[in-house]
Amino acid sequence: MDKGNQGRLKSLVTALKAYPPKFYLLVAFLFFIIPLNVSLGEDQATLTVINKTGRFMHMYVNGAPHLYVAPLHKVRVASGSLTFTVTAFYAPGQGVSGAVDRTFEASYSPPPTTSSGCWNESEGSNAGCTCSEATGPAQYGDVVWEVTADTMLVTGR
Amino acid sequence: MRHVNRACFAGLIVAVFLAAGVAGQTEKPRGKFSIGAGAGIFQSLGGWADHRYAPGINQFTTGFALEFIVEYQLASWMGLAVTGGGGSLGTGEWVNYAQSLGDDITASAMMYDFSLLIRPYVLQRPAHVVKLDVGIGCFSPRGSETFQYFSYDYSFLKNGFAFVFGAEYCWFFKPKLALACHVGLTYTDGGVKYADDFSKAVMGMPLTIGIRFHP
Repeated sequence: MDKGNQGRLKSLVTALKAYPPKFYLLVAFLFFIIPLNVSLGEDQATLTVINKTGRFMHMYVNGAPHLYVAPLHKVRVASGSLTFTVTAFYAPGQGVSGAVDRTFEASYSPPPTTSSGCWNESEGSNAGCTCSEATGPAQYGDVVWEVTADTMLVTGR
Repeated sequence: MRHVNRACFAGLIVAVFLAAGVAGQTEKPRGKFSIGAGAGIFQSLGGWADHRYAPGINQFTTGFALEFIVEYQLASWMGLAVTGGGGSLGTGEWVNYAQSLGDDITASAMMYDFSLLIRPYVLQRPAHVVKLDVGIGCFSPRGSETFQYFSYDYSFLKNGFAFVFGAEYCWFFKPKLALACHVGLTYTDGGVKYADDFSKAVMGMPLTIGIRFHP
């Protein structure tokens, strides 16, 4: 490496050293930890489709493909929406044909709340004013659908 | 596949030091900067291209490959290169199999790759140069299939971090122009992952013939 490149490298190292360790921790948080913070949790409905047809299947769940789902294996999808639209069909090359469409609605329970009085700025008092405060999370349902051979409709081949 | 990843890292280190040891015996290399292009084949290796359930059938077979390379000589014994390329993956074997069972399907698949390589020079003569490749990159396979009225992308093909190895032989038939034969090996852990979490590492061997130009 020639002297020009060595000088540039030294300048870069000096510039990077000027930042405190907390800066790099923040960068790591932004680039790694936030994207990983995705969970199938209490704030999303979930659909689980179990393949009990004895054949490999392809599925679309809300338009997203899930291919080569093996027999007795499952696909689990979380969504902020309560509606799941599923299309499942036998993967080609197995000597059988069949497909089925289903739409599911997951259950939803709003978060429990407590009511209390609160200050009404326009009245200058707490009369005629009620505040609600959530005391827990909303509850989203989990839908489970077992696809069997007799639910599949024969399609043209 | 953790042991394979560790072996790849070890191979990176060993190859660099081996070439550094050879460097003292070679002549002064020619020009620092070169560009090149090549065409050839991409051969899948290992079982990743096997079809998920069709017995003995490869879902992806040998395909056409193109590559482009820009290299800068960092020292007398090594260069740094950036390569990019792509090509097709054969799907005819799987399509023919499905059609033989009465399922009319069409399928296509492509792959793209980008890598950063350290290129130790193991032989440097006026007309003959041999280089090794060790590096890292990104391997991106793509594909889609149409079956009946369904059309879907091969969502089980995943972009992945790749280890890259290879070797290149250049024959300088003119002072600044060489015919190059390049063979590589790429390894991507988890390049195939199905909806039920079954996954496979992707390995492939590009083999290309092309031109290298030192302006």
